[in-house]
Amino acid sequence: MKILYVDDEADIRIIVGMALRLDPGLDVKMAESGPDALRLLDAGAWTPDLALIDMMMPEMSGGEVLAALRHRAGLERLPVVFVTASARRDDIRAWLDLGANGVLTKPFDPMTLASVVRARFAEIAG
Amino acid sequence: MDLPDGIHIVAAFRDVTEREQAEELREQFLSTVSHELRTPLTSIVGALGLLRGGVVADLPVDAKRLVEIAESNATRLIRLVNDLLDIEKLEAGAMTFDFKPFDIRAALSEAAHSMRGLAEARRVVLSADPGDMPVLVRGDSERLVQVASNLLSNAVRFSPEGGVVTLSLEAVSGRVTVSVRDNGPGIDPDLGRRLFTRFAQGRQPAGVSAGTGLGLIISREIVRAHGGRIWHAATGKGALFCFELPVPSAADARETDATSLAPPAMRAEAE
Repeated sequence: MKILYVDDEADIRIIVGMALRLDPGLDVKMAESGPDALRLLDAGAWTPDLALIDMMMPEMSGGEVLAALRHRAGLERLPVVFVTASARRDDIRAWLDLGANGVLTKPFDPMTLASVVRARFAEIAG
Repeated sequence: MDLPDGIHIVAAFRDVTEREQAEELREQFLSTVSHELRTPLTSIVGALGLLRGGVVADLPVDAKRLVEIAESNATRLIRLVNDLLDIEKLEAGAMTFDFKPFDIRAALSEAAHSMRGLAEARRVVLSADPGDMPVLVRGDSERLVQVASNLLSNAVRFSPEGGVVTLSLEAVSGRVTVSVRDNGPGIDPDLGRRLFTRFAQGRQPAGVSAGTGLGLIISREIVRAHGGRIWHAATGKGALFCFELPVPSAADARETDATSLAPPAMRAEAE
């Protein structure tokens, strides 16, 4: 299963990368911003099954990255889960309304993150 | 303004732009505080969690213990941030509630499930018996899980090893009462009087991470928003915390006179 993780926080990218790679069945790539993620996807060599996108990023917010993905051929239906350090319910509700398939709140237990992500994906895939 | 037939119209206008701007600034501030505090804490908890999990290397026993202490305190900081944000929202009247009819047994089961790990770590038996019949209430399920989790967390943390925490539910004549009982040292009378104030905490048993001292006050406000009340009952042994919710519609619940919901005597009410 291929996962794209997009987050502007380098420390969190390192931790999430280590946590997800505990599951050898996960092929994980990182992007440090929305434009970086879109460049990777536009290159077309690698298409994820699921994108985990931090919501609050400079340049492009998670919502803007999602909107851009929905306009790209072949990625319109890519499952997207927003990752956020905000626990505010109003924020979470608003982001789901943008069309995200789920919201994962920080902090998370790194030892169980891979199974949480797999479970989320199974829910989305139905 | 005078109109024919002796009708007078008096109009008052108030520019609320400034108030709305202040509210927007407050919202932005809260959002920023939440994000800026939780982001570094996420890195800290994540890094420590990976170390504790032995991902990098097997740690010597003492090192592992130190990592656990650091992780537990970072987690406590996150709870404190969450609780302070909740308090701020409650005091500003800005906490939103999503009132819907639901079976409160589901919320209680979820709260009990979330406390299993803590109970096992403390070697405390957690017994939840919400009954076999659905008990419908109208409320915010997620917030009521928060209340039940808070009471259970307190009970488990203050229980001795081998202690028993019991969660029960009673539905009688239009009211639902949830009770959490433990067989810990109980609440001394002085603390009992201050229980529902900020940062009031009992003496933590050795090796137990402290709470934030805000859980009960948040729980009280959540329960009140549901037209109910929460209290600590003097049992003579252990501690017993209960919260009671009216079963009728949310509209009825809001209009219900709080005194008509007064629980029987022997209770230190949350004020």
